[in-house]
Amino acid sequence: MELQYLMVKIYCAGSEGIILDDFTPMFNKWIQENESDKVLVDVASYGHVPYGPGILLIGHDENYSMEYGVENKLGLLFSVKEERAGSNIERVEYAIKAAVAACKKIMQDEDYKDKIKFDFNGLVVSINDRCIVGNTEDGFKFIDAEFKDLFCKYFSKKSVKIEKVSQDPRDRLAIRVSAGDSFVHLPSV
Amino acid sequence: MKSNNILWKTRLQGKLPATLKEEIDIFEREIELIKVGKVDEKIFGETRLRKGAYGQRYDNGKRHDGIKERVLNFPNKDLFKGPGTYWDAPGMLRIKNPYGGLTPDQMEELSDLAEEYSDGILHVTTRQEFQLHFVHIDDTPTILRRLASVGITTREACGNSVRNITTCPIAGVCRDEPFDVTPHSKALTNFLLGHNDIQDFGRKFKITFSGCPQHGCGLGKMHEIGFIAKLKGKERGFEFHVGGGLGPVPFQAQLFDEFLPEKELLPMSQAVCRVFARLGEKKNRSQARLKFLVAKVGMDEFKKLVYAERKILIEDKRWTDYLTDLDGYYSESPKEISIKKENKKIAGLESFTRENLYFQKQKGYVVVKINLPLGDLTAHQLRRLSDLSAEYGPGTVRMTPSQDIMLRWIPEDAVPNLYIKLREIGLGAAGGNAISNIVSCPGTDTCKLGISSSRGLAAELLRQFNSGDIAVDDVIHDLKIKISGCFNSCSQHHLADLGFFGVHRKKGNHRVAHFQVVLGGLWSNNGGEYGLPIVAIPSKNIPEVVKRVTTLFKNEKEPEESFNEFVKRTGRVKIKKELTDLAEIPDFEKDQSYYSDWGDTRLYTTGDMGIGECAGEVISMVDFDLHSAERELFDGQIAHEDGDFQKAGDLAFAAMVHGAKALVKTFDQDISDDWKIIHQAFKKKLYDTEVFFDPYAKGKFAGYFFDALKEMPKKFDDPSAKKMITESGLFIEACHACYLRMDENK
Repeated sequence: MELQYLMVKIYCAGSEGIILDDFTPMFNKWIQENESDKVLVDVASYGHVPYGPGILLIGHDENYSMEYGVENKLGLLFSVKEERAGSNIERVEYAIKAAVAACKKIMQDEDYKDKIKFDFNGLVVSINDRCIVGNTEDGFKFIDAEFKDLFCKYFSKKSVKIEKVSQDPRDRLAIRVSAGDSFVHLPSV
Repeated sequence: MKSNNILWKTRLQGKLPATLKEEIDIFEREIELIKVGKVDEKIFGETRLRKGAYGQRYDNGKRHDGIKERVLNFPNKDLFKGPGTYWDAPGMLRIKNPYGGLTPDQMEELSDLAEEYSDGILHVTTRQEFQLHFVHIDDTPTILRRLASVGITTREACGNSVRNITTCPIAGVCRDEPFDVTPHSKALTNFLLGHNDIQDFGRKFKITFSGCPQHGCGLGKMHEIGFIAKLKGKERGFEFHVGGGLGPVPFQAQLFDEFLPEKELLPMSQAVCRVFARLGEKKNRSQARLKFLVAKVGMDEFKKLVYAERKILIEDKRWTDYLTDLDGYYSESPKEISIKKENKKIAGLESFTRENLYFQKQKGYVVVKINLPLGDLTAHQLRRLSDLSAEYGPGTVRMTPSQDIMLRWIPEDAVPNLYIKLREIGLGAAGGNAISNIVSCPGTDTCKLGISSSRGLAAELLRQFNSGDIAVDDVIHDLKIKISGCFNSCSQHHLADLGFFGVHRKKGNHRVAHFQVVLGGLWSNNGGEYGLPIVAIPSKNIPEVVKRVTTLFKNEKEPEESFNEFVKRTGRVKIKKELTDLAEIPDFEKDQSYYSDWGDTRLYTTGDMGIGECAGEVISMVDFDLHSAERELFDGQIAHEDGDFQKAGDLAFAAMVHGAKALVKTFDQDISDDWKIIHQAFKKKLYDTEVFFDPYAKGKFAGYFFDALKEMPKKFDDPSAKKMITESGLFIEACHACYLRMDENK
C-alpha cells in the first residue's frame, strides 16, 4: 500500500493570545523570502470559519496552515499535495520534518518569539487519500505496523501511544501519536 | 496530479450515468491531447470552462508579494490550459447544483472532494452552487467522475452557456407561493443541459424561478429569464420576464408575458435561447448578454422573433412529459420521527429560533437557515449537515442565493436538539437574515478580476458586528449588505440596501483599494430596484461608512419607511455629504494602513489582476465541432498505430462526417446525425454553390468525402485505413479553411 498525500499536524501549547489573522503577514513573508525550489502561490484566510482551516499558505506541492480544525485545537498542519517518490517511511518522515521545521520557523519569527510554542509531545498524521486507505480498523493496523518503529525512534520508546483520531469511517484515516514525556529525538531538517 | 486517478477510474467503472461517463472520458481525452499539442489553447480554455473548471488569480504565473512581482515557477512551463493560463496553476471548480438542492450522498461526496482536492472549504455562490478552489486541472476528470457517481455534473457551470438555474430556496414550503416551482426548475435544467440550442452563445445566460412576486428569494427580475409562479384560475403558469441582468450595467428584466402556461415553459425558453444564439452579439463581449439584444431590438420585436422561433420548433416530448406526474418528478415529504422535545433552557436558542427559522406552510414544520460566514463551510461541517438533514428531515437541503444553507421539513419540536448539534459544529450562529449575514464574491482572494478584497472587507464587517463595534438594533437588523470585488456584480450588490463594489484610486505614487458605495437597492419584489452609486471610499473607511449610513437611517427615517425609501427621499447629495471626509486618503508617509487591503497585508497593487474568464472565449459551435472531428481522427490514428485497422478507418470516416456536419450547421443548426442527410445538405449548400471550393484545389477535398461515402460501410485493412486517415485529415483541414473564408466574408 503506497501512502501518498500525507498530512502532519503539530498542536500549539496553548492558544491564548494568538490571533489567527496574524499568520497572514507571516506566511506572506515566507513567500517573500522563499528561495527554495518550492512554488508558494498565495495565502488564503479562513479565520472566519469555525473549526476551519484557518490561515493557509498555498503551495503547488504542499500547503502549510495554522488551523483549529475539527478538533478546535490550534496547530500547524503541513499537507503534501503532490505524489512523492520513496517509501512510506520516507514520505512520512519528510512530512514530519517539514512540519517540525515550519513550527520552528514560526517560533523563531521575530514578531512571534516567546508568543507561540508548539507541543512536541505528539502529532497527528493523516492520509488524505480515501482511494488507498480508509478510516477502518484494517487501515489503522496497516499504518500502525508501518510507522510504529519510526515513532518509537522519535519519541521515548515506552510511552508512545498510537490511536485513531476518529471512529467515523467517512473521515480520512488519521492517527494521533502521543508520548507521555517528550519528543526527545526531534527529527532534524 | 494525483497518483490515484487511474484507481478511481477503475473503481467507478459501471457506476456513472452513461452520458456523463462519455462526457468525462472525452474531457480526459482533451487533456491528453492538449498535452501533445493537438488542441488549440483557446478551444481547450472554453472546453474546460464548460466543464466548470475556471481559472484563478495568479494563474498567469505572476504574483506581487508586496515588495516585488514574483514569477511562480510552475513545473510545466510550456503547458497552458487557456491563453496565458499555466497548466499547473491552481484553479477553481464550479459545481452545478440545480435549484441549490443537495442530497446526503452528494453532500458526503462533496465533503470528500473538498478535503482531497481543495483546501477543505466549500464555498456557496449566489447561484446556489458550490465552488472548490485551488484544484489542479489534471485531477478534474477524477473529481467529475466522483461527482457523476452521485448524480452531479459541472457541465455548463461556466463559459458561454446556461448557468445553474436558481430557484427560490423555500419553494414547496413557502406560505406565499401558489405552487412549488422546483419540478419546473428541475425539468428546465435537464432539458437545457447540453442542448444543441445553447452551445453557440456569445455570453453566459442565467435563468431563475421564483414562487411569488413580492419576495426576493428567486430574484426573477434580474435574470436573462425570470419565471414567477402564477395561477390563472386553477391553471399553473408563470409571469415571464426576460432581458434582466446585473454586471457593470444593470438592466431590469421586462415583462414578456403576464401568464405563460406551464406547458409552454420549456419550448418558450428554448425559443429565447435560439434567438439569443442567432442574434446575440458575439464579438463585443461587453454587449453580448441578452439584455443588450432585447434593448437593441425592443421588446415588441424581440417578442415577434421569439414567437416566430417557437412556431418552427420541432415538437419535443420532454416539453411536457414531466407534467404528467409532477409529484413523481420531484417531491419532498417529512420524515416520520419521534422527538423528545428538549425543554431545558438552551443559551442562544431564543435568538436562533427568532432569526433563523421559517415556518413552513405545512403545519408543524420549519425551515432552518444555517448562516455561513462569507458563504464558506468546511467539509466536516457539510458531512455533519448531511447527517442532520437525514436525522431530522427528508435528507435534502437547499443552498440560497445569500450563500447560506437551509434544512427543510424540520419538525418544530426538533429545533432545540438540532440547534445543540449545529452549535457543536460551529453552525449555530443566529442572524440568518441579519445585516451581519453579508454576501461577498471571492474578490481578490481568488478571482482574476478582483480589484478590492470583498471577502477581507466582509470578514472585517462581520468581526465588527459580532464584537459590537458596529451596533445593530431592530431598525437596521434586517438590512442587507453585499460586496463585490469589482463592478461585475457577482455579489449582486445592486440589490443590497448597502452595496459595495471594488474600484481603486491613486494617491501620489501608490494605488489605494476603494469601494464604490451603492445604496438603496431592493432585494424584495424579485430584485425590484437597483441601488444608487454614491461615492468611492477607501476600503479601510468602509466600516465607518456602514456606521454612518446606518446611524443616519436610524436617526432620520420616517415611521414605517424602508431603507430604499429613505435613500430615495434623502437623496444622493445629502448622503454623499455625510461621507465626503471619508473619501480622503492620508499620505502614504502618514498612514500606510490605507495602502493595503483588508485581510491582505501586502502593499496594495492592481498588478495581480488578470484577464477574466467569466465571459469565456467565444468559440463558435463550428469550431467545437471541427475540433471534435480532429479528436476522432486522432483517435483513428492511435487505433491504426495499435493495429486496429477497422476501428481506425471507421473513426477517420466518422471524423469526415463530423467535419461536414460542422459546416452544414452554419446553414441548418438542426441538421440530423444521419450521414446520408449530412451528405445531401453538404452537397447542396457547400459543394454545388462552390462555397467549399478552395481557390487552388477547388472541390478536390470534398471529393474525398464523397468517395468515402460511396464506399461505406467498408472493411478496412492497413493501407485502406491509412488512406482514409490521410484523406480525412485533408478534408477536415479544408473544412477549417472553408469556415475561415465564410467568417471573413461575413
